[in-house]
Amino acid sequence: MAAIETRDLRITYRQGWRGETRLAVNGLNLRVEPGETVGFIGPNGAGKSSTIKALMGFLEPAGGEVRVLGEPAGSPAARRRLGFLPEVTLYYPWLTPIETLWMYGRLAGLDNGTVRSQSLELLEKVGLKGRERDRLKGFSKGMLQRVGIAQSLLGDPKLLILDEVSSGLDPLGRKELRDLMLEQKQKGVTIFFSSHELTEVAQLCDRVVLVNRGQVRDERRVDELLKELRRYWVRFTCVGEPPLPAERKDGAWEAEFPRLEEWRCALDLLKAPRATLLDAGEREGTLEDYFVNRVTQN
Amino acid sequence: MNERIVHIGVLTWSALVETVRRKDLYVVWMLSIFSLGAGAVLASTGVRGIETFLRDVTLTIINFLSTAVCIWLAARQMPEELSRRTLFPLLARPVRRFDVLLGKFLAVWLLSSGALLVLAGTGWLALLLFKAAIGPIFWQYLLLRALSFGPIAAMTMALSLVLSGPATVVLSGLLTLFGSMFARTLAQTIRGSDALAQAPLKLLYFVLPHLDLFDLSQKAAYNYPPVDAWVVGVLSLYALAYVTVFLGLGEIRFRRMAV
Repeated sequence: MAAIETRDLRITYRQGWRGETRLAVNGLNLRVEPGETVGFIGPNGAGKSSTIKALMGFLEPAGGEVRVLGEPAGSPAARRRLGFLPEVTLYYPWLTPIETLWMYGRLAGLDNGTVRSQSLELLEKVGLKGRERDRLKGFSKGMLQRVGIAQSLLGDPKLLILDEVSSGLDPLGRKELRDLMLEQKQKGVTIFFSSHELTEVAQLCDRVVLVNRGQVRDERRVDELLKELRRYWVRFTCVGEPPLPAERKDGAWEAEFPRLEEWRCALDLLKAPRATLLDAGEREGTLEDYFVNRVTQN
Repeated sequence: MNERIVHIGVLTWSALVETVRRKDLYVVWMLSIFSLGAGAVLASTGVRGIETFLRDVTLTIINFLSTAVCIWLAARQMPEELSRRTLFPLLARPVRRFDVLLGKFLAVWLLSSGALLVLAGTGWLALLLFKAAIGPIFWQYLLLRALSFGPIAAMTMALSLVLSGPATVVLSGLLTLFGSMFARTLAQTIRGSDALAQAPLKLLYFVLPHLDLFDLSQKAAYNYPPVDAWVVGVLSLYALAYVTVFLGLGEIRFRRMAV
């Protein structure tokens, strides 16, 4: 049983007085296995948030099938076992963090005792110890997001769905969020999150799913992808034409190779008397390179 | 079933706490103190013979303010959930959309009835100062007024799922006014109009809640004896029927709504 499965998912929105339909997601197929951490990436308007809304049952798809933890998306049985953290939520400004968590905990089906003990533990984890009884109206965006993180973890969910969650957080908050997610990952929780923070995606995820124009364009394992994106380079000078294809930069020649063997060949070529090797090395690939490349291709 | 009751209770509690802490109802306390002060001043002047007029004015003010509070509170519940995006983590829990609506509705009804009690309490004290106290019908007046908040709050909440906040307040205010004041006029208009015009007017007559039935302010102003208990019973069922219809319509809209 997959943690998340969509088949030929189609989502449309009606616009204007005449009710013209706009296709946001067009035949999206997705499968996330239990225990996986999957980054859902894509440009703005690609269909990420719409897909997440369909997974949560916030909207009715125009077609296709969506299942979460083996149950139809949005069904109480599915919602009982998942935690959700939306982008920026202002929560109830006149409630305190402990009251907010009590409310969500009770709605999740937890009893009074469990929700109280879990709330205190989670608030400490997200760095809000000592602020449990302050009203949320005085909280910054980042602090509200910490309350949100705590509420999403109430009831030990089997699946966490996070939508652009790090956008309101400072670097320290992001690190804490990442650590919390890693802790959940180690506990075997399935994590599915959309983000524009590709460094974070690379650090957390086992797999990335690239979506654009409402369809999955690519799915890759992060470790394999980063290995593939690794580049080997040489910088050299030479008399006359360079012995290998290279670009002129700052008075020297530079060449880049995707494979180690090619790089080694290049180093051999540069042993020729008319060439002088200035520097050589390898550069780690980034998801940003992959993202830009794939999105512009599509 | 137990779980649903917990959900509705929790949602009602959160809306109650929010509204009380936000000091939305401070305006009610302030107006109550003002009316009490005005009653005391008037009593100290020694003017007599306008007791019925004073009762009428006091009850009209209570009617107007408590209904305004009800519409105002009901109109903001769901749009605020959407604008603050608190609806997302709420619906991410195994909560039915109807229960969200019902929880909010109950909070609005309780708060409006609370505001009514405060206004009525101070109004009653002010009238007592002027030796113009109302008899036992006053309690029936309060009960029926509180019952009328059911259809008003449910209608407003259903409208707030379709319209913007200000539009909801205006339209709901107009419909309440129409239901409270012009229902009888509408019946007379139907009798006097031609067959073609009768159909839409009749539809309007039967669709709109007859809020005037819940208003005992005139009887209370003239200190009538209490109405029969069966009347209150039938009106309770009438209010419940309209609450069910309006919340049902709201639920249909809410269930189809992409949040």
